[in-house]
Amino acid sequence: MVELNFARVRPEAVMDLTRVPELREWGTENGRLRVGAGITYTRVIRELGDRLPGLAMASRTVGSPQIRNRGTVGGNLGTASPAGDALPPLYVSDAEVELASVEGTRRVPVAEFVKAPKRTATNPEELISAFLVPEAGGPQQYAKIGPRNAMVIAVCSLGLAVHPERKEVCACIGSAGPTPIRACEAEDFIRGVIEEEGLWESRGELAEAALGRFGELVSEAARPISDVRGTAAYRTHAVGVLARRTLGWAWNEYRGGI
Amino acid sequence: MHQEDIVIVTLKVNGVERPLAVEPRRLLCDALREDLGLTGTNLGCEQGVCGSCTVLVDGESVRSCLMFAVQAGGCEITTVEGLASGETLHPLQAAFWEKQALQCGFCTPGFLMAGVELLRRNPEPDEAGVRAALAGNTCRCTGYEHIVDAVLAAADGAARERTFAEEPEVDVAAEVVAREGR
Amino acid sequence: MTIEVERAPREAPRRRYVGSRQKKLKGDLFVRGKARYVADIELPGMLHAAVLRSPHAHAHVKSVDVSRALEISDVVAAVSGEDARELTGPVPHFIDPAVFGGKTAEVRCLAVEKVVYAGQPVAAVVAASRNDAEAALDAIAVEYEPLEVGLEPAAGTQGGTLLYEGWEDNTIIHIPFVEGDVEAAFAEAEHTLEDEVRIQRYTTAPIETRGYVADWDTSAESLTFYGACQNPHPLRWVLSHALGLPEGKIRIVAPHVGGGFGLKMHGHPEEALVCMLSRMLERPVRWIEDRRETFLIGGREQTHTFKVAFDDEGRITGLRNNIVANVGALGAPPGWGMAFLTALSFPTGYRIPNQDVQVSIVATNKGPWNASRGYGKEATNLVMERIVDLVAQKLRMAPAEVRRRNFINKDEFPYKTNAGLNIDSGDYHGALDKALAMMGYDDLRAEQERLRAEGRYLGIGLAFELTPEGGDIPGTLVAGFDTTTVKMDPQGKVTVLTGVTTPGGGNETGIAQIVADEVGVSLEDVTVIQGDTGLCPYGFGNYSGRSMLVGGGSAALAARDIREKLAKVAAAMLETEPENLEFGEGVISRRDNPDASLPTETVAYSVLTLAFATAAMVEPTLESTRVYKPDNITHIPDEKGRIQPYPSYSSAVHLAVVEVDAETGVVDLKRFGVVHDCGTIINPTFVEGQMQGAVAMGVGAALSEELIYDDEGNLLTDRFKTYLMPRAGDLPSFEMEHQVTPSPFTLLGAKGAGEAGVGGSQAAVANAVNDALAPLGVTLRQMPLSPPNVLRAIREAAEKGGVS
Repeated sequence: MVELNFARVRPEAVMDLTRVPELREWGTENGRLRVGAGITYTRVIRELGDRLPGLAMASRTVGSPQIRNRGTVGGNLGTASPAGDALPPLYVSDAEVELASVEGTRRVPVAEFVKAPKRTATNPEELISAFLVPEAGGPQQYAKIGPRNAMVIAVCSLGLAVHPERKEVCACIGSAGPTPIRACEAEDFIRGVIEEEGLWESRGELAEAALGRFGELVSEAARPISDVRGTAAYRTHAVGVLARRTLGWAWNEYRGGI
Repeated sequence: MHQEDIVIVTLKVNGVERPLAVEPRRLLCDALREDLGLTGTNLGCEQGVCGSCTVLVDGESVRSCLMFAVQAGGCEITTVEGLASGETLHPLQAAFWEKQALQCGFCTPGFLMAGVELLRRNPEPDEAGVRAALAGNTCRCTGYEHIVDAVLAAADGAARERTFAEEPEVDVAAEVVAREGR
Repeated sequence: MTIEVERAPREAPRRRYVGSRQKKLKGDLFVRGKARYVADIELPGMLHAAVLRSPHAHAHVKSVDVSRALEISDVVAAVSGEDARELTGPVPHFIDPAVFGGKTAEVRCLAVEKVVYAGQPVAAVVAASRNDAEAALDAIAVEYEPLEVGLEPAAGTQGGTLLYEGWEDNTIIHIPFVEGDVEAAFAEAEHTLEDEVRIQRYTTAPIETRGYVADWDTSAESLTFYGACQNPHPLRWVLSHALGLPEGKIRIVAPHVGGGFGLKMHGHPEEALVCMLSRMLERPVRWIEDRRETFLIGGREQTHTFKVAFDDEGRITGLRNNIVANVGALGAPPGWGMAFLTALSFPTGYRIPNQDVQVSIVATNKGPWNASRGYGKEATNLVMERIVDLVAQKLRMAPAEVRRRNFINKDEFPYKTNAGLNIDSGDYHGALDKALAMMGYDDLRAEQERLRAEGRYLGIGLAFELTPEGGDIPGTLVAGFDTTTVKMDPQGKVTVLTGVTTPGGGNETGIAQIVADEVGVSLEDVTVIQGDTGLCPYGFGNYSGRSMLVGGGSAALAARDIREKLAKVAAAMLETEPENLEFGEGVISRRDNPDASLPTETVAYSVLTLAFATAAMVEPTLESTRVYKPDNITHIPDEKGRIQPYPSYSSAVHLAVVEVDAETGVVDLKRFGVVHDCGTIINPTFVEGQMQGAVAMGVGAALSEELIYDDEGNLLTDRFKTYLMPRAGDLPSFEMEHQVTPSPFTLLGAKGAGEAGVGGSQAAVANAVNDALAPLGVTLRQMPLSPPNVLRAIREAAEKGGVS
C-alpha cells in the first residue's frame, strides 16, 4: 500500500481478499491447526494465543493496534521480508504454507516457501490460502530488538520453541539474513546437551555455559547486512544474546512444568 | 481515466449511507476527505505509520491511508466528526480539551479514534495499557503526557457513570505487551 | 505540581486569568475535527502541483525536457528551472550569512544549471489532481552530469569538492567567541581533560507536513497565499522579492498549523514556486509536501572537540571548543544560523572566566538545514552538560556538586556571559535542589548501588539547561519585538489581532488571558486572530519562544490603553475618579462603593454613542495598536564589540533515570523529571505541555532519531519507519515542577517558553547512559545512543581495558 501511495508501483490490478470467508477461518486438521491466511494479528492474539504462544507474542510486536486489526500472517508470508515478525515462529514450528489455485492446492514447508527477500515459491496464479502448524507442545518465545518499544521494524529478532514431544529446541533468526534462518547447529548442540544430561526428564537447569554456547552458535548462523537500523556486527552479536535469553526463559518455563 | 474504471461503492459514514463513485485505487482517507468533505481525518505520512488518519471500520481502528475506499463498501465507518452527539462532545473529546491533550491538533483525530477503540475493548485501562494501545499514533507536540491523562480521565469518568448503571461487557482483555520478556 | 513565586511581579493588575489553567481557546474545533489546516483548503478551479527532485547530490543540470509531461491529458503545466528563472527572482535569505561577513549563494525555487543536494527541486508539474501531477513527473527528462559529492566537512574545512562558484572553500562562516586568558588558564590548570561529542543530523518532523495554496487574482493582480508557515509577514517580504510584486499585493494566511518547531519558518523553494505557478496559470494551485520530502530538511549536525581546565575543587577555569557544523547545502531558510547560536550560548549558566569557542559552519551536499526547536542552543546545553559530567567523573565528585560550584549565583544577575549575553534572572542552585528532591536523588543513588551489585546498569543523569529566548538578529526580519491590536466593540467584546502566530502551542489562549485581565472581561469574550497579513498588524510570527513574551506584552499594552479609556468614561458616568474604579469581569465598579457599577458593555457603548456628551473627553475609538520591545536587548556593540540579542533566559534542570542493557545496548528510560523556570507563568498547563513535548523530542534525539545518508548523498531515513520518534510506550510519565524567577526586563516578568527542553533532556539522558556504563569505563561520544552505538562504545571500552 505504501508503495502505491508513493507511486513506486502502479499495478494493473489489485485484488482484495479481505472478504473471502474461507481465508478468515481457522480449525484443526489431522492434529494440526489450519489457519486461514486472512486471519488478522489481532485475531491470532485473541483466538490462538494459548495454542500458538510464539506467534501470538510476535503478533503483539507487530506495528500497532491499527495494523494488527488489518494485517495478517498471510500478508507477512507474502511479503517475505526477513524482518517479518510472524516468520520465525512459523519456522520453529515447521509450519507449512498452503497455496491455492484453480488447479487445486499444494503445501510447502515455510523454509522452502520463503526464497529471498520479497520472493516466495508462489506461482503467479496461486494465492496463499492458509498455513498449517502444530499446537505448541512446549514453551515458545519471541523477542526482538528495536531502538524504541513500539511500532518498530526489528533490528533483529529471534523465535524459539521448545518441543518436549519430539525432544528438540528450535531457533530461528529474523532480520539478520536474506530470509529467516534456522540456527541448526545451535539446535543440534542444545539437543545434545539436554539429552546427555537427561534434562527432558529431570527438568533440571540448563548450565550458563550451555546457554552461552547456544547463543554463540546462533550468532554464527546469522548472515546479516548493515543498514540504517543496525550494523551487521551488531545484529550478529544481538541475535546471540536474544537466543541465550529466550532459551533461558523458555527452559525455565519448561522446568516449571508449563 | 475511463468510465469502466469507476466503481460505485456505498460507505456508511457516521451513521449515514454515502454512495460514492470512485476509482478502485482511491484511498479511503482521500474518499473521506475529498469526496465526502470530512477533513477531520488528517494525513501525516501516507506511509501507514503516524496514525493521524485512524478511523474506525466496523468498530476497529484502521489506518485510512492503507485501505482503499472500495474495501470499506458496506462497512460502518466512524470518523472524528462522528464522535460528538450534536453539541455534546464524546467524553474522550471533552477530556482531550480539558486536559490540553492537544496542541497543534493535527494528530488529535487519530488519537481520539485509537482511544475510543481502546476504551471499548478495555474500559478500565491502566497507564501502561493506554500507552501500549496508543503505540500506533505519533504526536510531536505533547510528549503524550496529557494525552495519556485524558484517556485515563475519560475512563474514570465512564467508570463513575457505570456505578449508576450496569457493568458493560468486556469483549476482550487489554492487549498490553510492551516488550516481551522484560 | 507546585508553583512557587519567589519575587512579586512588578506589574500587578488584578489577575483572574493570568497564571491559571485555562482550556485552549476554540479547543472544541480540534477535537471535533473542524480545525482547518492547509490541506483542507479547497478553492474553485484549484490545481495541484508536484515537484521533481534531483536524484544526485551534486551535479550539473545539462538539460530539462518537460515536453512529454505536457502531452499527458490531465497535466496543465510543467516547468523547468530555466522557465522558473524567467518568472521569479531568487528567494531572499531569512538570515543572509553575508550580513555577518560570511559567504552567500543565490537560492532559486527550481535549480538552474546545478544541483547541490539530492532532493533539490529541478522541475514542477501542475495537474488536475495530486496523483496526476506526481505521476507526470516520470515523464520529465533531466540530463545530469554528476560531480564529486562531499557529505562531510572537509578536514580543516578546506579542499574537498566546491559547492558554489566563487567560493574558495565550503566554509560559510567561521566565528570565534574568545574571552579572558585561555592560554594562562590551561597553563595554570590543576587538571585538564579533552573529549568530543558528535551530534547526529536530526529534524523536527511535525506531524503535518508543509503545504501551500496560492491563489492569484488576475483582476486585482494580487496574490493570496495560504500556508503552513510560522512567519506570515516576513514571508510576504520574501515572496514580494521573489515574485517582483509589492507587499501590498500579497496576503499571507496561516490557517491552523500542524506543528512547526522551526521547520515551517520560510525560505523553502516551494513557497515561491507555488505562487509563480498560480500567477502563470491564473488559477489556484495547491502543493502538499509528502513525508519523504519533509525529511530532506535537516538540522543540528555538529561535532564539538573540547578541552577543559579545572581545579581540584571542580571549578572550571578554561574552555576551548572547536565546533564544526555540517549545515548541508545553503538554503534560504534560517537553518545555518543555529550553529552560530550554539557557539554564542557557551558556557550557558556557568561561570567560566576563560573561553575560546570557535565555530566553523560548513556547506556540504546534504539537504539544507532549517531552524529546529532549540535553534542551536540545544547543542550548547548538551555539550556543556557532558563537559560538567566529565569533570565530575575525573575528580570523582558528585555531578550535582560540580554544577553548584560553577553555577552563576542567584545574586549575580543580571549576569554578562563571555559572549556578551546578559542573563536576566534565575536561581540555578534552587532549581537543582528542587529537582534532586523531586526525584529522590539520594534514594536513586542507593538503588543504583544495589542494582550494580546485581550486574544491572542503572544510570542517573543530571542536566542544567539555559535557553536564551525571544531573540532579535540585527539586519534581518528576526525581531525581538512584536505588535498587537486590541479592539473592543460596543457590546464590550474584545478582538485581539496580533503579529505573533501559533503553530499549536497555545499562545492565543495565553494572550486572551492577559487581555481579559487587563480590560476586565471574561475569557469567552475575547477572540484572538493571528496569522493573516490582511488583518493583523505587522509582526514576526513564532520562533525563539517569543510569542507569549512579545505577543502577550504588546497585547497587554494595547489592552491597557482600552482600559484607560474605559476608566475615564466610566469615572464620568459613576461620578468618581478613574483611580477609584475596580475592573471586574464585564463590570466596572467604584472601589469605595461597589454597588455603584456599570456593565463594561454600557461603558463601551457610551464611548461610541455619547462622544459629544459624557464621553467627550476621550477620542471615540476603543482600539489600540501597540508594540512591545522588551528591555535588555542591545545591538550597540559594547567595548568588546559584543551585542546582546536576547531579552530573556529561561532555565531548567532535568533528571533522567535509565537502565542500560549492556549486552544489547538497549536503553530503557525509566523516569524523567524537570524543574522549569520561565519566569511569570501565564498558563501552567500550556507551559507544562510544551516542556513535555520538548522533552519527548530531546529523548528521541538522545536515543533514536537520526537522518542517515548513503555515500552518494541520498537520504535513507525518509519515513517514520526508519526515522524513529518516541511513541507513548517509549516514554515514562514526566515529573515536573516549576520555579518562578520573573525577568526584571519583561513586561509581565515572563521569559520565553516553548523552545526549551530539547537540549536539556537530551543531555540528561546522555549523562544517564554514561553514568550507567561508568563501571565499564564507557564514554559515549556519538549521538544518538542507539543500541548499535551504545554497544560499540561498550566494546571499545572493553578493548581498552575497562575503567580508565
